[in-house]
Amino acid sequence: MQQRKRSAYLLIAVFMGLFFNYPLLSAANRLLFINDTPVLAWYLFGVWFLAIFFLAVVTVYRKRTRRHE
Amino acid sequence: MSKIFIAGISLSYLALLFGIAYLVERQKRKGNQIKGTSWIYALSLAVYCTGWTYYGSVGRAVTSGLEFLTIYLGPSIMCALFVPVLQKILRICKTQRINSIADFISTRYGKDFSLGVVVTLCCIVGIIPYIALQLKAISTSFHVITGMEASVAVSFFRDDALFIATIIAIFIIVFGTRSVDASERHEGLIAAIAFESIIKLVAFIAVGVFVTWFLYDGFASLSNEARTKGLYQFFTLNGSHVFSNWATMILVSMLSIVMLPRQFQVSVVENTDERHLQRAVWMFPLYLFVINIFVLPIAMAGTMLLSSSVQPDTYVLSLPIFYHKDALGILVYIGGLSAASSMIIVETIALATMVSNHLFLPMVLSASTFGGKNEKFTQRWVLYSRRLGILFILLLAYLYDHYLTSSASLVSIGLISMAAVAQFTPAVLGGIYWKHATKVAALSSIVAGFSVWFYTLIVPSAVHAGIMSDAIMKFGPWGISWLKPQALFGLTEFDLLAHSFFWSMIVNIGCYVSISMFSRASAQELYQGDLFVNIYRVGGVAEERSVWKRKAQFADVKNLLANFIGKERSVKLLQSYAQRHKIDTSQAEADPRIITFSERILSGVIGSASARFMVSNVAKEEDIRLTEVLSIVRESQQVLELNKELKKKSAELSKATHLLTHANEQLKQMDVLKDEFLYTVTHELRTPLTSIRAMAEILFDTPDMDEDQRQVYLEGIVKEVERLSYLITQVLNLERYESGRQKLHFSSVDISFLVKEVIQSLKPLASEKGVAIEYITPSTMILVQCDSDMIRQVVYNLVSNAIKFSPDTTGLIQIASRIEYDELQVWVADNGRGIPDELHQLIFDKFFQARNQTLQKPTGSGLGLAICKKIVELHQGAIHVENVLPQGAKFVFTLPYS
Repeated sequence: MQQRKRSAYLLIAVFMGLFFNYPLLSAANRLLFINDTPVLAWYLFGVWFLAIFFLAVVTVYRKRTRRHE
Repeated sequence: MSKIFIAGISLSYLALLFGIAYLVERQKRKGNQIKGTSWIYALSLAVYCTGWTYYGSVGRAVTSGLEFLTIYLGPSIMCALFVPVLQKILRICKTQRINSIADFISTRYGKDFSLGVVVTLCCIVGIIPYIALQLKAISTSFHVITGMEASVAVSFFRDDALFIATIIAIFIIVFGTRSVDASERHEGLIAAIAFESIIKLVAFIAVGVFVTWFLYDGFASLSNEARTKGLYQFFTLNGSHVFSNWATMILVSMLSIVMLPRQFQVSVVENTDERHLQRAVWMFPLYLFVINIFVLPIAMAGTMLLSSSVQPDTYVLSLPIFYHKDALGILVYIGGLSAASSMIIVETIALATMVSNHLFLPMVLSASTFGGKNEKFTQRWVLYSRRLGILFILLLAYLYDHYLTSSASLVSIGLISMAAVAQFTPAVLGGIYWKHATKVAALSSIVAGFSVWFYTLIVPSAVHAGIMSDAIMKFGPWGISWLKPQALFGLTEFDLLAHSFFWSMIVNIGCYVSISMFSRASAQELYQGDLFVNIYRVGGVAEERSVWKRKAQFADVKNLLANFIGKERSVKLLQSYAQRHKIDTSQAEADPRIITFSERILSGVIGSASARFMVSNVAKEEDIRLTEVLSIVRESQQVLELNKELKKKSAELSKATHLLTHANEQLKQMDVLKDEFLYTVTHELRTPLTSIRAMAEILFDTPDMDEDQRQVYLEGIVKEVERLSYLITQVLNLERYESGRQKLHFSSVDISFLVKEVIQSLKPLASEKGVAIEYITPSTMILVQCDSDMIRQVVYNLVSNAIKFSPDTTGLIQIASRIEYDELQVWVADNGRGIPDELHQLIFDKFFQARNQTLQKPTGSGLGLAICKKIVELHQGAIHVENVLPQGAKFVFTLPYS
């Protein structure tokens, strides 16, 4: 149980490391705009928010499971 | 705005912080539980967001666009690693009563004085500029809001920074040094820090909303105007080494969230419950996310609306002032004051503890005049040394601010400090995952890494500030060009920070790994290494084991402890420990465990190295050989392995018990079923036997019975015997199918032919009852692999049942067979009274008819359908029943078809 939780956190960290660095980051590093907002800002804040969401899901979900146990 | 007014507001705000800290401390003293401690903990981590975040991020965004985000993305990544990494550090610190990062490293490598001193000195050199930066942020914002010109050549007594430093020093001394125990939590202070985190967030969002929706029509409008004005630096990452610098900054900030003394203080030392990490894992990154949303809009707006003479670092405050929004300006100023003061407070406490425990106290404690003094004297000395540490740190920071910070931007100093503390990473992370790492290796790696950091970052900064000649940058030291601090060994691919980080970490890790491999750990290092690496496994037993053979008088140990933590508390702690471990304290000689325990308590007060030194003064230690420690470590490992094995066995045993219980339940159930079966069978056998006996007795008792009557009785007896025989055959068949003794003889069977054969054999019975049988012949011949005799019996049973349950004269039975995907379907439908839905499963049970006496019972054994089900299942098929409209039942069985 604890091991699975650690693996989930580790996986999120690895994905964050990948998405926030070259080469994936360079794909968003373009002078393009979505709704007049730079695509790079969308990308960085979007991935960041998703990562936080998943961190919260892993934490809360595990907590609930433990409570049920 | 007037200087007095703003000074009054600043003082009122600081008084509010005093009030919050005081109230929380009072609640704690009363024994009341403080609510929302996990929220307070998560918010206190936001002490990471200093004046740098508040003012400096905007400054960096103006020059490098979204690059400022790296400083927050790194910690967010690290948060995902909080559970695997920080939780382990937390557990170690709680077990060992560690109170600073210097203490952590010193304790890990054999409670060594030298390591503690080196780490403390590195922290002072690396962090003082960072604290000075916060003083600069406060005084600059004060000048901006009051409209005063900042003057460099101001006297000490008229310097705002000195005034601020003094107020903060008082706050820290009042709330940060209440107890001699440095590992004790400062709940009041941390609550005040959490409050400051909320204030700075609210203030920053307020100015962001003002800029985005009051000065412009939202993000899009702002961005559109910046695009029209050609401010493309805000939209993409540019520069020659953009991705290497980006990755370096992420890495540096990622490490700093654990290694910075203030972060270590709030996340580890001030932590009251390991579970609080769970909330911090997502809440702290969320805080960083929210506080950064408006950085880019403020930077864009400031660039477009303010004059170029305004420093980008002050845009956050300058924008509301420029538009005469005084209230907002004050809020923003208070937010900045929060950001800077919280950092100064926590960082100073952390550094002062290190300075006191690793620099001042070892000198004081080793002085021969110190011994033999009473407890009040000692405690006072410890507190004085810590307060002296606070004044020392703040004085150094103030002097740095007064003389040196004028040329540096907020962010550059912050990054330099972060790169400095990153030098502790190999010693800290290696220390918790690699038990063979040695003290010499840790010491060398920190010194070497820090020297490279100093040479490649501080020297260029000093040249830039005009403190040093630029010859070293142009030609290298002594004209050796490959030693240029900004291009060591000719490396010009990185910017200054990335270059410094790269070389310092290469040297640092290289020293750490290579020296660890070729040096020998002392007994103490080996023991501590084992404890740190295996903390989850040995943490619990560490308290109970004492490796060191030390002899001391119990009274001496008790007095030593009383000198530092007070008589009352020391007696209470020792008694409770002795009780817990069943130690006899009436003996004159102290139990070795008591000595170890006392050393651990002292560690929380004066650091592990000093604690070991003090205990060695009263306890005579026998030399312990390396082999002995190795054997103890090995023994503990064996115990752990055994424990693990036992746990595994216990789990297996519990699984086996569960299986056995389940099997037992099944056996009980089967026993009940067997009894029921036997009862039903005997009951079913008894019915024809009773009839036979009755008819035979009548024949026996009435020899003069006429022939016709005798014939009727004899026919009856034959019929009942046939029924009996049929029943026994059915029971035997079913038993054979269930036990698996019945072998299937597969052959290709034409299902239409088989059905027609059955219909033919049952036609007389159907005709007798006036029931019509209709077979819907499939258009093509269906050959199916099955045991023809057994499937014939299934069809026979179903059709004969249908005849039995169909109404006389109007009965109609329809039979059909067809291929549906990969299975053959055969159904037999009648227009009888149908079967209630709730009985659809039950009718396939053995003797279902016999058990349900309420049902109208037609003739039959009650085993027909059970046999059908068993046969179909033996063929890997299925059977079920459904009702048909307007009335009747339809039995469907399927067989695999390929």
